[in-house]
Amino acid sequence: MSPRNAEHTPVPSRRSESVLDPGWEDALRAGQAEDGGAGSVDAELAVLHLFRHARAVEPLAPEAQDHLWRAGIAPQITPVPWWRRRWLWGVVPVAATAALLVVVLRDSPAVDTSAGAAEHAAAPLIAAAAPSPRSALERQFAMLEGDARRELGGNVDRGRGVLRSQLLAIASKGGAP
Amino acid sequence: MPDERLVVAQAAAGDRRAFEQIYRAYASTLFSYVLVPMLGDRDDAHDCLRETFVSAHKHLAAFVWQDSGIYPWLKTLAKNKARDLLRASGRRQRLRGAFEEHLGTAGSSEPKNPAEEELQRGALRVRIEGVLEELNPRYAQVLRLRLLEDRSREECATVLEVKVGTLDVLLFRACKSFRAACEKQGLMVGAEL
Repeated sequence: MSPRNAEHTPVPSRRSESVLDPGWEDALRAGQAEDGGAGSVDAELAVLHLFRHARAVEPLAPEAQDHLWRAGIAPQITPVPWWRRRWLWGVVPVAATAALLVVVLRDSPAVDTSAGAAEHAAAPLIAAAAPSPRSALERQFAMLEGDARRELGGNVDRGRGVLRSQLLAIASKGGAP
Repeated sequence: MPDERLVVAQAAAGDRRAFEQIYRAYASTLFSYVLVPMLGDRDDAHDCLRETFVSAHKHLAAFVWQDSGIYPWLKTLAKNKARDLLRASGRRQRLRGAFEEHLGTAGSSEPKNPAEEELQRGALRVRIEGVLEELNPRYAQVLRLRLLEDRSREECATVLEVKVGTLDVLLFRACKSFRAACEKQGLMVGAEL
């Protein structure tokens, strides 16, 4: 809009981005009041708008066009890389936890039919209808405890056998230990 | 736009640069000749322009090529976005900017490209002049001086030999009279959508 159109005092709080300077509405209202009328002047503003469009179109500034593309359109039409998708950060931890639970529950003593099942069954039955992280850990501890005790017992037996054979060898040579 | 069909096909296949070409070719025309006349507000027109192209990108695969190119399709999208905004914002804006809905009656047919939009604006001026011929000469003169020739209030008051306050009354009455004359000729100005 040319400076001549801004001759009326602008009212910043009212339609600051209207293509019609607020001064036009002020002039219409003043004319309406002088004419003894009152009420809306929207219909007359539409006439002004039509004339202003017929005189010269409101251009889209090149900077505004660039800005609209860069800030308004391009970000919305550019696909987001999978690692930057917001939902991923919620889904991955949940999926990992769920997978861990599945692994733990699948190997639970209640369904284990292997040789160590009896030993596992001796562990406290912690499995509940709704497994909690605590119960899952306790269940896994019970499983591992049985295996660990078996391995420890085996090691002790092997060590004892080795020691006995060494003592026998020393005794047969007549030496003192 | 040269090779428009090819560019549109590339954009529909996901080529962002091709889509940007379409934007660069038609955004300013849609803004100046469709959205601002409908909305009367720069911010609203910017918002609608953005929504138009985001929507166009989303639905471009469904666009069926026609000889008139992609502009009429974009224009329809833009008008729909503007109508949605006007409906949401109420009567005041409908009255302020609705004349674009009826611009088709000013020319011979709906413009199919930016050049035809400009031709239609020329036809609109001819139509306006035709309506002005039917008005009270003083009303026609104040509208010509103030709105088409962009003269200041003081200049207009001097030419018309009236006070500035009286000029405001003349302008107000002239707008009312012009609107009534337009309606007689089937050119609706400020009609509700």
